[in-house]
Amino acid sequence: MLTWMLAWPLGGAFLTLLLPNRRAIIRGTAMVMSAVPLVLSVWIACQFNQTTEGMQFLQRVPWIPGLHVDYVVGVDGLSLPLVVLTTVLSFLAIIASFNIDERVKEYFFFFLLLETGMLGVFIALDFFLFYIFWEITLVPMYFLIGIWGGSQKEYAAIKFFLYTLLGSVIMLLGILGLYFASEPHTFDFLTLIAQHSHFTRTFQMVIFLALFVGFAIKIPAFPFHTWLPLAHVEAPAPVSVILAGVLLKMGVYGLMRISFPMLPQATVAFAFPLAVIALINIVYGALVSLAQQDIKRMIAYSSVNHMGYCLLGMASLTVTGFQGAVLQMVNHGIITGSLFLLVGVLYDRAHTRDIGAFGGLGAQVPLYTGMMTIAALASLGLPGLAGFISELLCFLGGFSAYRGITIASVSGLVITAGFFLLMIKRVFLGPLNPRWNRLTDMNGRELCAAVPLIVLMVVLGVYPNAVLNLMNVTLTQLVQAVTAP
Amino acid sequence: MNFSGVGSILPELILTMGALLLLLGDVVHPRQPGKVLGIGIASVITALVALCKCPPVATGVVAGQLPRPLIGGNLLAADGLSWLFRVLILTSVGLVFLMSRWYHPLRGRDLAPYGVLLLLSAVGMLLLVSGTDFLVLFIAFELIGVTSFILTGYLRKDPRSSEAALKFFLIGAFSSAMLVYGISWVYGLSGSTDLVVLAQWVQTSSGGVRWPLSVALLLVLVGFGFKMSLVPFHMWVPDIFEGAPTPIAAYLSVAPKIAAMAAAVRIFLSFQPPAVQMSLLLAVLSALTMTIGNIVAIQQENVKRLLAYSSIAHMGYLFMGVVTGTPLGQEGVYLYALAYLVMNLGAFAVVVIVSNALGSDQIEAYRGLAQRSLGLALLFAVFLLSLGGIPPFIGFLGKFYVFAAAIQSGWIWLAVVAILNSVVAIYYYFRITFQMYFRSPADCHPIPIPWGHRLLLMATAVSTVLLGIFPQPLIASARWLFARAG
Repeated sequence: MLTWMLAWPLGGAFLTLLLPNRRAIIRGTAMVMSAVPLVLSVWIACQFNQTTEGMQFLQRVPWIPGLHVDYVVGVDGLSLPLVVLTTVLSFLAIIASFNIDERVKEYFFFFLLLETGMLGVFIALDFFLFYIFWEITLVPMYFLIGIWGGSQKEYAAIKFFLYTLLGSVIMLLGILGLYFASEPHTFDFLTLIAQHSHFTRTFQMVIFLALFVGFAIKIPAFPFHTWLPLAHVEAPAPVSVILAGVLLKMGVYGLMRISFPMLPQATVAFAFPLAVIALINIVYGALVSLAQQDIKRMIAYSSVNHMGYCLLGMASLTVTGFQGAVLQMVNHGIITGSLFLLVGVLYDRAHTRDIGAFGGLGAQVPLYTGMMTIAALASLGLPGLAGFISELLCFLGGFSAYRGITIASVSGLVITAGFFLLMIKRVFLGPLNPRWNRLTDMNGRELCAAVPLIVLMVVLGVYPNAVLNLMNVTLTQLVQAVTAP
Repeated sequence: MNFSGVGSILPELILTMGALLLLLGDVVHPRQPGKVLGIGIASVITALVALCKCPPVATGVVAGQLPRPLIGGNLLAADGLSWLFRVLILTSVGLVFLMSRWYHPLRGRDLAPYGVLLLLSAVGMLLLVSGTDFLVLFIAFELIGVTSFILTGYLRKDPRSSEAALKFFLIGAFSSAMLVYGISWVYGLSGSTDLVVLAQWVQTSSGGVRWPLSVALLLVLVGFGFKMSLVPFHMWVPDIFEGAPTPIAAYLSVAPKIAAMAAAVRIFLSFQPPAVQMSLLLAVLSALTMTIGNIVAIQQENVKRLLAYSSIAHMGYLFMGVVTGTPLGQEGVYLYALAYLVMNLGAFAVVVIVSNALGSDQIEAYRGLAQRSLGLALLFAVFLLSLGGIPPFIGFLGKFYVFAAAIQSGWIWLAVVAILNSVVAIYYYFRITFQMYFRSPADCHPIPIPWGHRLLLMATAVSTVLLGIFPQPLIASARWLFARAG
């Protein structure tokens, strides 16, 4: 079943190459090919047993016996929410991509390949397979940013690629280290997790650091975050949605799936430095966002801030914290995804993203204003909308472990509220800037892409248990695995 | 005379017959490029069939042990190492024949001597990978060398081709002299040039020969280092690749280098004690080769020169497998060599196709290739990604193996250098994809590709992708063939 979910976007990518050059056909095919994994993932979520621990929907096929590599895929409470997030965002981003007019075939080819890679990362349970999918996400992203991006697209694309690749190859060394330290040599996650007690503390710390470099660049954790603003701003809006919504989660997922259970002693040792990095992410990310004049850049830096909350929750090594971290990943994906979509809507019409260029748009485009406001409020953590519960859980977890750091991090909330409200004020409120009195409101396609996300924001804000119930058992087990002596 | 085991040198005999046939055929029916291609490919395929009929029987190269079986009394070995690499050499010759048939600058030239030289150089390489006697290795060296020099200068009217040939010849002669000097020292110290005898002698020899032996091995290394384009013996590569006809550049980038690498594995393992002491030096050479190859490649504007420097860097990674000296390293050398063969020949195939259509080898000429011929651009991207070691292609498998071998044997610093170099390499490979995908073409007509080149592209692309995703048959066969007896 999981392999079917992978096969559809992959097959769809190659099918797209063979189609005739009619835009409608290509767009339609891409939409269908990404709708299938969406349906499958929701079905899997409904069938998921929320009370057992361990992997479900497990599939294991011997692949390269010579290297002790098997094709192993499965989902549990940690990966399932992320899988659903990926399929939802990919589907909506494809709908939002219907306004791309040139080289449409290549666009959807790369996009569907990207979706395959992302899904693969979250369901792979063997290091070799995991690494392959991890790298597969890089290449289409390079092309997507570099061909259809903004003014500095080529530089952004190559910087993104090289930066992330550097992290990945360092991660590869860590993977090889784990392989040779295990008896018998294996790349299988579950076996390596079971063998964690065989690894010495020093070895665990070295491998943790090697893997951390790869994950930290993706999260992005300070100081490895410098690729993010450039890539997010220069990418076309639907690609930014995927970049912020899914790719950033891969780093946090990697930490929780790989580093924490396999290297528990190192995790405990490095928990405090991780919390410090989280603090820097939160406060520094928020402060830099405050300084931005370009809306997209502002949202990009706010991603740094939001992922800081995830890190704080993770560093607390408590069940509450972990729940907050995973829920924050889902919420951030939805919220920031919708923010990028909406910025794209504005940019398509206005061809500028400068906050100062707007003013009083609320009167001209009320529907858009409403959606953007809801998204911005969710992002700053207004109770009732999605962001609040996850941030609360992260703080609760963090407070029980690191009081001082958590207290300092709350300032991030205030600053975030500051820049979002300022943005809303300057763009939507006040007298209408006469430059924009011909601006049209959102059309049907854009609404189709954005409304589901807004609805999800409200639903998850009011009933977060829909997601929390999926992850409870797994995360409890994870905390026990990490903190057990 | 000992005629046992003639079956094992049948491939060499077949290729020689093929070369003679081409020569005679050229006298009777001159200027028939189709027939040259036909006879060349037929010889290669027959040789491959003959090779498959005589699989190696037993042991691989193990330090101090006799590689068996031997042919003609201790001159050649027909073991797993020899068999595997002979398959690689034959495949590369066949693919280069296919590449050369439709290469524009060679049109109108007489292809028969070209074919003869290709086949004879292949014979030299087959001998190089099976030789267990220094003199056989030297003869093979010279055979490869002479044929390569002439092939490089085949475009007589092009001054760059002649210049390349002359440079190649001078440097080649110099390094051969070093090689034979080193061999003579080894002979002087031990009384034999037979690797098997030498392996035993090294075990039992007194401490006094260590230093002279090390010097001798260093001289041998100089000779081999030239063929393997290790730094600092690499300076010939870019000029020769730029001047030679592109199919020959492709051939030189792959076949002689991996043949020399296979011979290096054999020599290294035979001379275990002094070679192991030298392994730090070899590791440093490997690191330097990767780094310098990659760094200088960044600035190149000519695709052939870029691929030349990239091939130098790849030899550095490959040599890392030799340095580790473990069975995993040996498998790694073979798998990397196979991966390198497929992806490099694929990349050069695209270069040949584009240079035929656009008449230029500058990176600029690849502008907008994605919009002109999306299929060709995607294939070139696949080859470049594979060269850079990005999964799921076969280049990743090769790199994975040599990195694993390095980490397993404790060469952590070398592995770190290698991975950093991989990232640098991507930067210059992506300069080509930059032109192909991010720039618009001058005109939008698709690039014509003759059927032979299509076949070549398909063969290399399919191998790059499929063998990257399903490498198990390769790994199993490599392991079986390298297996030790008892």
